[in-house]
Amino acid sequence: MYTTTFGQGIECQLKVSVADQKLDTLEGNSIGDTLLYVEKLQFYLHASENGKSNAENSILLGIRHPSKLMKAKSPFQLYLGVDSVLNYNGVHEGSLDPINGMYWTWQTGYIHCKMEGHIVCDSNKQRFEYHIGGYSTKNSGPFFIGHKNNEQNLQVVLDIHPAIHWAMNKELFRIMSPGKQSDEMAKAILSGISVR
Amino acid sequence: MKKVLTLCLLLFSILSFNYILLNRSTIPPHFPEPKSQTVARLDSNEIALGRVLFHDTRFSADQLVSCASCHSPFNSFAHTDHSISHGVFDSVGRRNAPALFNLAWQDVFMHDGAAHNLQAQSIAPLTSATEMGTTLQNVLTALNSSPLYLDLFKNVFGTAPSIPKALEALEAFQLSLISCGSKYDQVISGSQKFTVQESNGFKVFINNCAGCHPPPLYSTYNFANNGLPLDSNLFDLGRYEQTKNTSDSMQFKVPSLRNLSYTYPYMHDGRFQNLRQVLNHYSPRNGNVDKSPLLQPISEDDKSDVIAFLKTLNDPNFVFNPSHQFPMWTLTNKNIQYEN
Repeated sequence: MYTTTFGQGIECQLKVSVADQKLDTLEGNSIGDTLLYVEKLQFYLHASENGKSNAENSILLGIRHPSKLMKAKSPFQLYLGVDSVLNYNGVHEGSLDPINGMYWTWQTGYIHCKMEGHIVCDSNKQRFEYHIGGYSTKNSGPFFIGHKNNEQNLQVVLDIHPAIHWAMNKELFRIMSPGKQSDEMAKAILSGISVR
Repeated sequence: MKKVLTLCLLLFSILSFNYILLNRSTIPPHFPEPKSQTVARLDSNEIALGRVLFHDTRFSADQLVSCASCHSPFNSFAHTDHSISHGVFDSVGRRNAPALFNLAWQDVFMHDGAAHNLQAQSIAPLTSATEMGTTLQNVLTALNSSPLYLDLFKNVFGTAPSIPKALEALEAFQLSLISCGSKYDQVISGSQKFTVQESNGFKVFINNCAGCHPPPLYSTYNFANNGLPLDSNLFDLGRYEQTKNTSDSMQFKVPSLRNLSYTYPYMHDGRFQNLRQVLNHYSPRNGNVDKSPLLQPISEDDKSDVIAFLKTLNDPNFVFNPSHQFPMWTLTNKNIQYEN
């Protein structure tokens, strides 16, 4: 039997890189003298049609699930994260099911983006955890990526180098709550995203 | 055939309870409009499923703790006789579990307002290491491996169990917990009268306490620092832990004063065992103001009268409502009927 996704939505493909090199999650990625190991990386991509909020327009992309179908129809505005209306209304099904581990229980709301792993430099190992999210504080997202028209598929390219570079320069290895650092990290992640 | 008959009896027993219809005609006229949008479209089947989930211990890490372990229906869904509530493997938390009623009139939940949504709130105790200590994946696995829940979810939602649907049912059950049948409510409706002592206590209360605990809900459900000294062991800074605003330090959600006889001990850490101790905190007997009392000093006689009034806020019909209690038939027969 032949099946097609034509007409069911927009095929979204994620490609993750580190400083333009394809991300290797098993061997470690060389950044100068540092080896970067990424164990978890996932984020919400949300399409807003005419400013309306729809849970089906949020998809969870990540290194373990790099391909997803987005139900939105063009034109739409694309965001990193989950909008405040969806956050306010509680939990949702599909990609937004809290079973995906992208929901804060201590400060209820969705986590826009998770990145976890460790770096090794001069035989020293340093673990990092970044959980970027929140909806009730100023500038906490979602973060605008761009307008899209007449799309049949989207290729989302995420270079995590700007975010890692920003965090390591500031020696920030754990960002787990909303606030200024979280907002700046989100902007650094955003600067590494391009959608074609 | 036996299984089919059992299922029919089971569903009938669950769904045949008379639940409160949550609309303006069944909420007392002196109550304000609920804040919850969900409460107007509650489904009695969802409430019944939520009640089963609420009392079922199978979801916790040691299969011994349910929501009702710390939120007992006989204690107005609070945890009495424990200053700090405890969870799986005898672990101890940091706070006394709050009473659960009239949640439809609230828009933030937990002592520090950590949850902005009642549906989502249930995730916190399920996954807290010192409460139920499980994961949502384990909860989903437990639901999907249970013939009981496969049937119930299919009947209620027409689908297989899912985490959002389970949370929705838990929310429905909790929203249905409405306490509005106290002597005070009957006085307001004209069917009862206060005694002289209760009447004086009410006047003293209105003059001194109603700023934070206004009738008819007996709470603003805002956050306040009531002058309690910090417990250096618990080091609980309350609302500050969520907002990181220094002005929120030591602020905790103002609780309702309904059903106090069933919800002791008092305060977020259960440090006071009786109401006299609570009133002495606010209005010290020796006039010592070091405790930052929120009240002007009131006499010991007036305190007794306030306590007499507070007891008129007890709602035994709510506390002993059979439709809130452990669903005995459903949960105790499951092993015999379903897991052969």
